[in-house]
Amino acid sequence: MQKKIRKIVIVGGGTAGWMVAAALAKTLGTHHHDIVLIESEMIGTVGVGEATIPQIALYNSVVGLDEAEMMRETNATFKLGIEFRDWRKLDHSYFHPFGFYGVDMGGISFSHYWLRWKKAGGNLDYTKFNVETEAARDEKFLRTNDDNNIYMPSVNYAYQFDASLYAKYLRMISEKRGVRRIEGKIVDSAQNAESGFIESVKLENGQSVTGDFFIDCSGFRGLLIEQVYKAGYHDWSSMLPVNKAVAVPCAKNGPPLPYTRSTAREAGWQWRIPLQHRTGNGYVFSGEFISEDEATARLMNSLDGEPLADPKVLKFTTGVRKKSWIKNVVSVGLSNGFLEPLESTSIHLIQVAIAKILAMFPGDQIQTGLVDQYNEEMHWEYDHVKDFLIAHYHVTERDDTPFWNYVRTMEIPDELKRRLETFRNRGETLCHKSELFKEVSWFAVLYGQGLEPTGYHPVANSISEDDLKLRLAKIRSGIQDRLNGMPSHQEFIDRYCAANSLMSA
Amino acid sequence: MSRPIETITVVGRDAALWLSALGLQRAYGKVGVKVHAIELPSLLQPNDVLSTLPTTYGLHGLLGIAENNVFRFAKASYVLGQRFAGWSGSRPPFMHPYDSTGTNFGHVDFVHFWQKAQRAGMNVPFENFSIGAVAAAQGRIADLRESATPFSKAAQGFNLDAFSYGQLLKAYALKSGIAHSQGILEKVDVAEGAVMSVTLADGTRHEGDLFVDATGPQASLISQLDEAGPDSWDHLYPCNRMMVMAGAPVSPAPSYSHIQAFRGGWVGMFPLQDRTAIVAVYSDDELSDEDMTQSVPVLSSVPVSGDAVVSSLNTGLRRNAWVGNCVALGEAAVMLEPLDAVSLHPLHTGLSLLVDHFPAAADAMPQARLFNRKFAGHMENIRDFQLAHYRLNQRYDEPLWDRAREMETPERLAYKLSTFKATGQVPLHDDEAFEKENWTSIMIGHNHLLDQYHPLVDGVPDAELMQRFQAMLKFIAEEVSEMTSLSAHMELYAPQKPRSSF
Repeated sequence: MQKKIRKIVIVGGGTAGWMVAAALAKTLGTHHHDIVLIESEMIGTVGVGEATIPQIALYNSVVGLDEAEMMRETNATFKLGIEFRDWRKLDHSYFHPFGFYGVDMGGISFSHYWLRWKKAGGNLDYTKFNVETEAARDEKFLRTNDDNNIYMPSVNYAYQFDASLYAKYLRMISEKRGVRRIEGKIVDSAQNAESGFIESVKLENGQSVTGDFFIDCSGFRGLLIEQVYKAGYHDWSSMLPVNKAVAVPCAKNGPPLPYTRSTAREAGWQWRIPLQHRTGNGYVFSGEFISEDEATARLMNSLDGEPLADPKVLKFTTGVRKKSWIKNVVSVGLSNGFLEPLESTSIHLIQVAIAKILAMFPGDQIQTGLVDQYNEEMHWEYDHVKDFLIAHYHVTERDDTPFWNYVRTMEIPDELKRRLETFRNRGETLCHKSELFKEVSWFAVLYGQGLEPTGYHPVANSISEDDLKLRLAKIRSGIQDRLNGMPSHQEFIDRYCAANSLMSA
Repeated sequence: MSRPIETITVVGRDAALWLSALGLQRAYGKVGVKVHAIELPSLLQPNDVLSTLPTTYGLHGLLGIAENNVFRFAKASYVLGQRFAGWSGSRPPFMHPYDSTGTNFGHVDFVHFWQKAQRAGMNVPFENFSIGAVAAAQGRIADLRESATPFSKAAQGFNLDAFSYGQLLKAYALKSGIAHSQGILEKVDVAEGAVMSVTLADGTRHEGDLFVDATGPQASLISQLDEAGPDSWDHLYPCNRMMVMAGAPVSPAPSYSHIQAFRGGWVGMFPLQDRTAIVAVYSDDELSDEDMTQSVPVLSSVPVSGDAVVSSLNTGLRRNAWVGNCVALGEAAVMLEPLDAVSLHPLHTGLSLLVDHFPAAADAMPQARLFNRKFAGHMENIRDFQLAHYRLNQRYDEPLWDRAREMETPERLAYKLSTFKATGQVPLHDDEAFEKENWTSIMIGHNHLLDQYHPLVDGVPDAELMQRFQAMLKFIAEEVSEMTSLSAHMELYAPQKPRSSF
């Protein structure tokens, strides 16, 4: 007989652990549920400068965070999208923006109208029809959340912040709401002999922490999900071959850019994430194609500011647990899987897990039907992000290193093959409604990577050429009006959420 | 037995030549009249600009020239009005839009209601009730929605790079099937009050039944026939020098021209796609050409590049623009200041009159008298509009501007100004280029207000009046938000530079 679920134990702190804690404390409350988080100061977290996607606003509002306060506390900057340098070919750059291209018309996306216009000799780049791209170019930012002007596009954004400060901030909020933090390193666990459910975990100091429901946020090692339950792992490294990262912060070299930059390198790619006080950098690479020392040297040589710490190396295997929820254990974050942060999805996947856990949160009993559903849905999420990441590597003209020759010619999933083919023929991306990356993202990346559609959706021919031009001009007008009213990113930060310089020192 | 016109020989240069030749070809080429354009060397300077009114659309329509081609190939920009700054002491600038302002309530013009509210302390400028003016201030082009058309007739003129525009017209003209010669004009043969032929430096001699003089200020043909010569208007205008320069383009692109008065005259900034054309009009009594050159960057507040081209500025009208078989079109017939965007207007007027009053016979052209009278009336009205700016200026204790107020005022202008002040009415004549709303706009803009508003105005309760005003302002704001920005239009219709980064 299962016990009623009253005590929730979060195994591990870090971004995942504290995101779970803060969300559970807010939604389940700590009156009916006892929420405990066990973490050890001795175990470092993998928090580096981290970039997010706009969906994080939903998490923040569920938890009830004040945006400006959160940004001050985490040295955060705004992020309008990602610049991809050298991905299609050397000396090429494209932008994957948040937000939209133009305005969808007649039930099909704007990009089809643009493709039609381009074929007819139109000379204005599609990127000009996206306000976030334009603002990023001009290093401008404005929060338009409360602006009801229907003539101008709103500005979609996410954050770039110090993930360890974000975890710290969430910890403060969680503890205020009654989450108990227990310091200690877990060395063992005890299962119910009959059901196999975890009943307690044992700390190094001998203390035993009992619980009814365990959330495994223990990082790559998967303390419960893998070490106890042997969930197994889908290894995707044949299609996403990077398996190491070296990270280092450096001094900022000017006002922070309102976007993340990803620069393709000889055996992977390098991130650049500007925070208010410094810049986060890292080289994500494949150990099969470049040595750790060489990758580190390349990273250090490419910094645009003085390094502020020693470079730190991480190892990982891209993939996902075959099961994320087993018995009374759910794995969240790195313990559940790893997808390189090329599209800043790490925090998002934590958030998705939290949302699903809450949606399917067990009452008195854990229903196997819900557990199966959860496992299917989580796998689906990871799987589709995976395909999107693969597209970045596979659709390229680069042939200058063995790494790029490998990814350009490797075998890719059938579903992705079908997508690329359809996009090539008529600019459609076959996105599922619930897929994280929507048509705009696929268009930005596939077109940016050099896959230019030869056709477009026939509905785009339904309006007259004059009407089309007029609509294009109107859309551009709205974007220009919006841009003209935007301050610089730095100015906006200064007046909205400047970090306390004492703290950020 | 009279003989119909079989050949028209158009002698001239630059836009005047090609507009005239193309216009006549389009109108009479189809009935067998042969048009021959004789192209003389250009007198254009590299940075010359033409600033035109919305009537240019009619001209281009007449000539079969696509607007988008003009926009694209003449480095053109759209202009919805002119902004006058510094003409009335410390008062803020005002916009003269090519549009009406406000709506009448009953039979009483809007201006009366506005003036009442203004006296009662309402602080909203007159121009804010004009879609054209608000759109110009916000860099829009005049693409009104249908919902706006009962309220507004906002329209746009062009600023054109004179050289590129001339090239475009030439291409159209040559394609239209006219004959074309070029060279230096050597001799004009005149006999019995008519042009017999023109001879070029290469020795070729060209005859014609009708000659058009489009040679510009040189008036090479008509001056051989018009013994009286042009009436000078120099005593009516306070300035006598003109300087043309080029400035950096302004971003976002403004859709108005800016006319900045200063101690010694005015400096006009005319946005184009690749630059801001700058024209300074001044008096050498007040400052030297060198001083003017140094003042332009300060007055225009855009970086200035390239050389300044200076010329003397003379105004005047040839009352006999048509003598015998020779019709002068453009600057050969009239010289005006480059104010109020009338660069092409005289030519357009003359060409339309000529098309309408085309001579039936080659040996007698009695239409000339009618043409001359109509043309002169039209030009005087334009002149008066220009003079109104000077006469109404409120820059006190500056010699040029004090003089500009006190100079002789043509009777018809004096009557317009005094009638407006007394009644809010604008007595219009035939052949007016500028209409009631234009006159009202500049008179109110220059602070030439009504002595009293119409008695019926008091019949509308104040609260209702304010409500209507607010509704109007809200409506205008919405309509203008929906209009296309000039910058966006420029990107879509003009050649783009490739982008450098993402």
